[in-house]
Amino acid sequence: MAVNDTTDKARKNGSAELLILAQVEARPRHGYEIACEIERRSDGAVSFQAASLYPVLYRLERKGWIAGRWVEKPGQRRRRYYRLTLAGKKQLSEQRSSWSAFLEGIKRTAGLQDA
Amino acid sequence: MPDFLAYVREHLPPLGVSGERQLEVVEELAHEMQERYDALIRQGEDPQSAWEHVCRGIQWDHLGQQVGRALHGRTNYVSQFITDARYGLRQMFKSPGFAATAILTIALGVGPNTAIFSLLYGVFWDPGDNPAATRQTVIWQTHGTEQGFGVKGGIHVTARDLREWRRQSKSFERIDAIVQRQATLNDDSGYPERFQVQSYTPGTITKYFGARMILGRDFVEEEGEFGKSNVVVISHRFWQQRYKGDPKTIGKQIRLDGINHTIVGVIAPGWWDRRRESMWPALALPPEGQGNGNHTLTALALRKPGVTLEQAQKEMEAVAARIAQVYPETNTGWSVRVDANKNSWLSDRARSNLSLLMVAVSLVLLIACLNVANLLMARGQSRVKEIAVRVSMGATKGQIFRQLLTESLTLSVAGGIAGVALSFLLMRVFTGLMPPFFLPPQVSISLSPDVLLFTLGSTILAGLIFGCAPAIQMARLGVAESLRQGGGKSGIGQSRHLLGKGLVVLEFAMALTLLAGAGIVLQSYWNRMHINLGLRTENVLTFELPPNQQRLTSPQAVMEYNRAIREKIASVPGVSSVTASPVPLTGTGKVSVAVAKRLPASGAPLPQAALRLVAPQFVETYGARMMYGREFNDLDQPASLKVAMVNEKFVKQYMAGLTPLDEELVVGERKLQVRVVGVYGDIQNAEVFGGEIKPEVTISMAQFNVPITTMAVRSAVPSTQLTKSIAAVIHEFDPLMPMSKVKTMGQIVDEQTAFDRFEAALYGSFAALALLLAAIGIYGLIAFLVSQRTGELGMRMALGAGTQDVFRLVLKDGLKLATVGLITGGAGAYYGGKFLQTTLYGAQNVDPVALGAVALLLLTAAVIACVIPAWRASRVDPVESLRSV
Repeated sequence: MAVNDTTDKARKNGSAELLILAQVEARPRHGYEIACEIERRSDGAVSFQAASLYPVLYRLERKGWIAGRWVEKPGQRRRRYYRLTLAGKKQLSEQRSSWSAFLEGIKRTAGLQDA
Repeated sequence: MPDFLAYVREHLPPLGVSGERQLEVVEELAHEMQERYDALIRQGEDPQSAWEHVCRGIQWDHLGQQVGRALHGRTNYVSQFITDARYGLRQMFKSPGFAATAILTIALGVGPNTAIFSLLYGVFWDPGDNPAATRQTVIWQTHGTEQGFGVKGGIHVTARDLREWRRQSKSFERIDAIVQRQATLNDDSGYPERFQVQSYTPGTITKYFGARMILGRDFVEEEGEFGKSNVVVISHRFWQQRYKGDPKTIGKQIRLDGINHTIVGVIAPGWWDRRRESMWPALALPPEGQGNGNHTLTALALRKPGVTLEQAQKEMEAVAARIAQVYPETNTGWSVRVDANKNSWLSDRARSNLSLLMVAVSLVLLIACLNVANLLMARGQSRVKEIAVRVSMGATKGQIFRQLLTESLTLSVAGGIAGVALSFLLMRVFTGLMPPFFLPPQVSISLSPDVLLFTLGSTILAGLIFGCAPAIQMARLGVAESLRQGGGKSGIGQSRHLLGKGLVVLEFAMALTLLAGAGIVLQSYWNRMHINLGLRTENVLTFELPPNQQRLTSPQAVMEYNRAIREKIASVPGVSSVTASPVPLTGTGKVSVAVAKRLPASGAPLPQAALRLVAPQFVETYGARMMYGREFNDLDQPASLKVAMVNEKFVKQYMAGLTPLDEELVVGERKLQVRVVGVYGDIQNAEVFGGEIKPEVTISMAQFNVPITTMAVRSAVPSTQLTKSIAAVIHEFDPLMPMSKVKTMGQIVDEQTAFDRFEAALYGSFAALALLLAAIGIYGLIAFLVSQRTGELGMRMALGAGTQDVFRLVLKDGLKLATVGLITGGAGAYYGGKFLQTTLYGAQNVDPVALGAVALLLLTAAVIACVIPAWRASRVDPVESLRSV
């Protein structure tokens, strides 16, 4: 992915999709859990509010990359859990490789240090 | 325990999905909020602040839109628009001051626009309630370039030609005829009264005009025959006013000009009640073979459905050619002109003035739009942060643009509604101020659905005009830029300044164009108000004493009657002189005339002059100025030497180098010889009131046996005080004589200038409105631009610039803008003025004084707009202002 192709919007939306897909790779999670995981793993650098999280979740579901299912556990409210589908898995690996290439390019070009 | 489920259900807008899916989304979002709330409580926050923390900053409309789109995979434009509009409305309520200002400004633009458009619509486009109105046609005869007394010089039709048209033409369903005249009405109401009446051939009222009778009937065919036409139809208003709506009015006997007539019908209420006439007697064409040379009829024809005006014209030309073959001695060279009836009677001047008014109010609306654009831009400044947040949350440029534009449209629709309310008021004021018969009677002015549609259209257009530029500006902000700028006070970049500057120039230009135009109209009005009439109008009373052809059969009898009645009136205490003559200022006759010594070579036409026929004491009664010689007296009789007076202009134009008194003139086709016995100062006699004075010849009505029945009385006391005693003397002299059209000379001048006054009032108020809007707008724009530079100015001061330097800098930039605006506006004013010059009397191309005054006023607004923020800027602590850089 060439740097000059990347608009603000595409990067933002693209990264949100990547981040969310990555959270449900290991096991199904519900919305709030996904938001918490992103915040925890990024040490608070990235956070998603409901307003930005759910539209992306629903879009991914509509594209068939994740699938939502209501799960009821005793003593708890029912929750909607999202799991990665096969198409989602493929998408995740594609996005991962294109993002690494992109970030590598940025690092080299802008002289960024690894954290 | 807070109920998030209820909270979300209440706030999330409809997503356009099934109810079940909507509830699922509500539940999921409520869970999310609940989890966050619980987490905060676990961290030790108190419930109130935890609740606020979770709920704060959620823009439900935006969220609903995003979720809706994610679920659909496409945009639901209707729900999106509703969402945007709701958001816009909420924004409006959040800053009521801004909203009120914007709405009021739009209303001030839309209101006059709607009102004037409804006027235009009523005159030009309103189909009315008669579907056949578009087929109504008027036919005139034409003869080379000869001008008749009909519309646009059309010549009235002879009875024989009308009959031929009826027989030969195929384009028309029917051809009717009307004749207009004055008639004296005598009925049991006791007092005789003079009325304008139109006689109609049977069927004109119900079949040509499509009128409905509320009582009685239209004329039947045989009432169009000679000797059977003594029947009359009256208007609803006349029926109510004169006969108190008595149903027994049908069959009632009245006398018109001394002839018994029977009232046979009352027309249903409507535009007929707004006409000058209230009575329509039946018209009988003269019997076949008579009146062949008299061009007296106005022909009204109803085209058959599907026949165009052009087709009818073509056919009628052929018909006219055939008639000319049969009657070569009377009809050679005669043709016809077929006009649409609608607005056929509207003068060119009224036509162009109405369009001009529409241009004026459109400019007012545009200026209002610019002002609102300016308001939006200034407010955009305070919304940079809000926009930035939305952009950071993933809103695209398109979304931001659409949102801002929707807000503008919401504003403009609100303003439009207020504007319609305003226009309703304005229309009442207009119709109240409007001189009588300003518009054709068919025209009704109302807020019809078509007018409202136009208003909706212009309102939306206005919203787009003032909303687009600021919306594009805001939408172009990148996240980083907007976040960076959102915190500070600095501007939104160079392009915004350019936009602002462009707006200043535009506003200057439009205001100047409009104001210069209005200035010309007002100046023309002023000129007309201050025309030298050549008369003294105070203490002059005029009225008509129509001759009764039944009793006074010869001109000599009328003349004698006239002389006797003048003598009676002169005996009323307070009356200083009496004359009979057509009222000056209301038109003159026309005659060919030449000085006998300077007759043109035989065959060459004689020059033209205006003609007056007057009784003795004309000059004295009207207060004209006698320059040389004498005016007519009772010794000037048919048998004595024929005498004439001429005006000053006549002497200048035709008698240069001669001593006018005792010169012989040759007058008219019959080459009558008259001797000049007097010269008087010019009396206003132009065809268009206030136009150029024409040479004028005045002859004695006694010597030429032409009885004039319009009287004028000059008195030592205000003339209205004498009306009663004059009426009493006339009644004593002749109880059957009506005294009609009683007017003071002042009233006649008022009538002649009523249209001008009305127009001047309209233009004047629109111009004042435009000036106010433009001054406010220019002030606001420049103040905004200068306030944007606070930081820069602070930096300059920190670097050592003095208060005066800052002042000069700001003023220089402001004036530069104003100058560009003034030059552009000057060009607009020049061309606008050129156009106006062709339609208005005495209008200079552009009045330099008025234009200068307007320019100065706008410039003052610009200077004040520079000075106040510059002063503020120079007072700001440099450190403080630098922070905003």
